[in-house]
Amino acid sequence: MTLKYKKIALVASAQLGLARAPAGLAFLAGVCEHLDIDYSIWDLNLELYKRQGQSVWDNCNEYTYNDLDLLPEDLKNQATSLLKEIVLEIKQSGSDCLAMTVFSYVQMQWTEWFLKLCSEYIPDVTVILGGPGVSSIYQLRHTDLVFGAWALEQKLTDYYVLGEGDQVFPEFIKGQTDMLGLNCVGKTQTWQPQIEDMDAQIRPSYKKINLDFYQSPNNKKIITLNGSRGCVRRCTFCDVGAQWKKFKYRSGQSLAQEIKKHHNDTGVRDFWFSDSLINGSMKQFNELLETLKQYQLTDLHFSGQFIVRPSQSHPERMYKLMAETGFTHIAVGIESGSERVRDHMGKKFSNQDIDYHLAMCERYGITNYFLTIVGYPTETEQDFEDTLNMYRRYQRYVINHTILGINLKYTMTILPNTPISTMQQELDVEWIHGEGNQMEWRSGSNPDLTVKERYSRWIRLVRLALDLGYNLSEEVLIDIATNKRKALSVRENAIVDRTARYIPIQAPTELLS
Amino acid sequence: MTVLTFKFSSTECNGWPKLRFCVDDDVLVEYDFDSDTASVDIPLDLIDGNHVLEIERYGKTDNQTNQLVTLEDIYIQDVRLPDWFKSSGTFYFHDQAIQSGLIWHPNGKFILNFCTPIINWFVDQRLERWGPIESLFNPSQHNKQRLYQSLAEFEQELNDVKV
Repeated sequence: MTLKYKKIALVASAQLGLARAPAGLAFLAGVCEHLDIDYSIWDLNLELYKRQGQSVWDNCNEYTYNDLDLLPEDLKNQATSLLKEIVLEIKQSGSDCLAMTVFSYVQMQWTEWFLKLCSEYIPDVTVILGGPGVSSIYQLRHTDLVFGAWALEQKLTDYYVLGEGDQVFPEFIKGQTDMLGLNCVGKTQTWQPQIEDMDAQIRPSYKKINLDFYQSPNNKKIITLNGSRGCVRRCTFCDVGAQWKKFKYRSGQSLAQEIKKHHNDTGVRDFWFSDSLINGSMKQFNELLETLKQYQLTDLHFSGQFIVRPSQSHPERMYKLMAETGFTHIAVGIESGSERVRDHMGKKFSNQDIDYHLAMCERYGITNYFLTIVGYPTETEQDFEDTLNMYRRYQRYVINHTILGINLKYTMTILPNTPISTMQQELDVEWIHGEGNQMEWRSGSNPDLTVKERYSRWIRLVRLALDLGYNLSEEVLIDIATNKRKALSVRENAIVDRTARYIPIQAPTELLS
Repeated sequence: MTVLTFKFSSTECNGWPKLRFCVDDDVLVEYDFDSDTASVDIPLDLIDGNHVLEIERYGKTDNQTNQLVTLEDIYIQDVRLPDWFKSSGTFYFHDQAIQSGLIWHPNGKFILNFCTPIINWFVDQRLERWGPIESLFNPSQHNKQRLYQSLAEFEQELNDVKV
C-alpha cells in the first residue's frame, strides 16, 4: 500500500482532565498501526502537567475554561516554552504530518497557540485537525466559522475534518484529500457522513500511550472505550444531536472482545465509556453484559454515563448483571428534581423511575454520580425547591455510596447547536455580556430567573450538598471562584444584547434534516 | 419519621424466638418469630443526641436449646447500613459480653449506640469508617468550613449584581 506520509506526529490538545489518556490519540494510533505507518505521540495536556508541574497546570486550567488570552505573563512564558519544546521534538522526530485531536471548544485556544508555533518552526509539516472541538464555532475570535475553518483561513492548518474522522483519516494518510468532511468539500454537505457499521471501525491502540502518567483517582490505569455515536435522547441542553444525527452502536459482542483484548494487552482493569450513554441501546447493553459474564473476566470495573428508564425497560436482572460484570460506577444526568423541568429537557423519566433506579443500585452496590443543572430556562423557585427536596430525600443513599457525589460545576449554559438554543424566541432569551460565554442570559418567559438568581440558587444547592454530606468534585473550590468571577463580570459590564451571543445552528443540513 | 429495619434469621425449636426492641429504655416493638426470617421496623422519633438501642432476646426455655436468632442486616429507609454499625453492637448474656455478637443463643440483650439525626450521623461516619472510596471519581478533600466561607463571600458579593 502506498502512503503519502512516512511518519506521523499525533498530538492531543490541552487542557482537559488528567484522569485518562485522550481517546482521540488512541484512535489515531490505531489507524497508524492499521496502516503500518510509524508515529509518535504527544498529549499536550499531560506534558504541561509533567514538565511544568501541578501548580502551573492548575493555574492555566482556570484560564483554559475562560480566556487563555488573559493568562498572566509568567504562565504564558512557561506554557509557550513547553509548546515550543514539543514542536521542536516533532521536528526532530522527522514527522512529515501532524494530526491533532481537539476534544472540545475548551481546547481551541491552546490549539491555536500550538499551531502558531508549528507554522513558525515546522512550516513544511502537513497539519490535519480533527475531533469534536474542530466543529465548534470560535466565538472568542469574533467569527462565525467553526474552529477548523477558522484555522484553515488563518493558514494554521492544511486540513480539518468535520464528522467521522474514522473514515477520513485512513484515506487521508493514503493521499486522498477529496472527501466529504475534509475542508468542507461538497459545501452543502460538508461533514463526513456518520458511520453505518461501527463494528467495522478500526480499533484504538494504547500501545504507545503510557497510562502510568495519568492522574486517575486511586492511581488506576484507565482505558477509554466507545460503543456508540450519537444519543437516543435529544435533551434540550445538549449538542450531541447536532453532531451525530443518528444513534449508531457497535454490537455488545464486539465491545466485549475489545475489552478482553485491552485487558490482555495491557493488564488494565478500569474502563471508561465515552458514549453519551452506556445504555443507549438496551439490545447492545444487555448483549455486552451477557458476553462479559460468559468471558468470566473478574475484577474489571466500568464507568460511563447512564440514563434512567422505567422499571419495565430496566428489569432487576439488568442491575444484577451490571454488578456481576463490574458496571458499578455510573454518572447519571438527573439534572433536576422537578418532573416539569425534566419533561421540558426531554429526559423522559419520572421521579418514581429515579426512586426505582436508586433502590436497584442500592441492592446491587452500584454507585451513582448525579449530574445536575441549576437555572434551566423554565426553572421556577418551586422547581428548584423540588431539586433541593430531592437531594434531602436521597441523603440516605450517601451512607453506602449509592450516591457517590454530585456534579455542580456551573449554572445553566445555553450552548449553540442545542435544541434549547433554537427556542430563543419561544423563551424570549436575551444575552448579557460577561465572561461566562453562554452562561449570561435571561428569559422574558421566566423573568424571575435572573443571572443573579441562578448564581444564588447554585450557592444554595452547593451549600445544601455540603450540609447533607454529598461528595463534591475536588475542583469545587475553583468552581466557586470561577462562578464568582463570572457573576461579577456581569455586574461590571451589563450590556444587554439580544443577538450577539446567539449563534444559529451551523451543522450541515445533511445532519439536521 | 426515620425507620430502622432489622433483618433476622432464626431457627425453631419447640417454638419460635421472641424479641423486644427498646430505645433509651422505652419499649417500641415486641416481635415473635413465626418463620425462619424476619424483618422488623423500628420507627425513630427522637430528639437530637446520643441514644441506646437495646434488642432483648427473651423467653427461651431449657427445652429450646437449638433455638437461635441471627442479626443479618440493618437498613435505614431501605438503605443497607454498612457492616461496622451492626458490628459495633455488643451482646450481653448472663455475666458475659460479646463484642459484635450477632448470633444469639441464650436470652440476653444486644446493645447498639447511635446519634440522631441518624442519617447525618451515618453520613459523617462514612469516610472515617470506610476509608478511601474505590472509585473513578475524586471527591473533594477541601475543608468544609473553607467551602462554606467561600460560598458566604460569593453570596455577599452577589448582592451587587443587578442583572
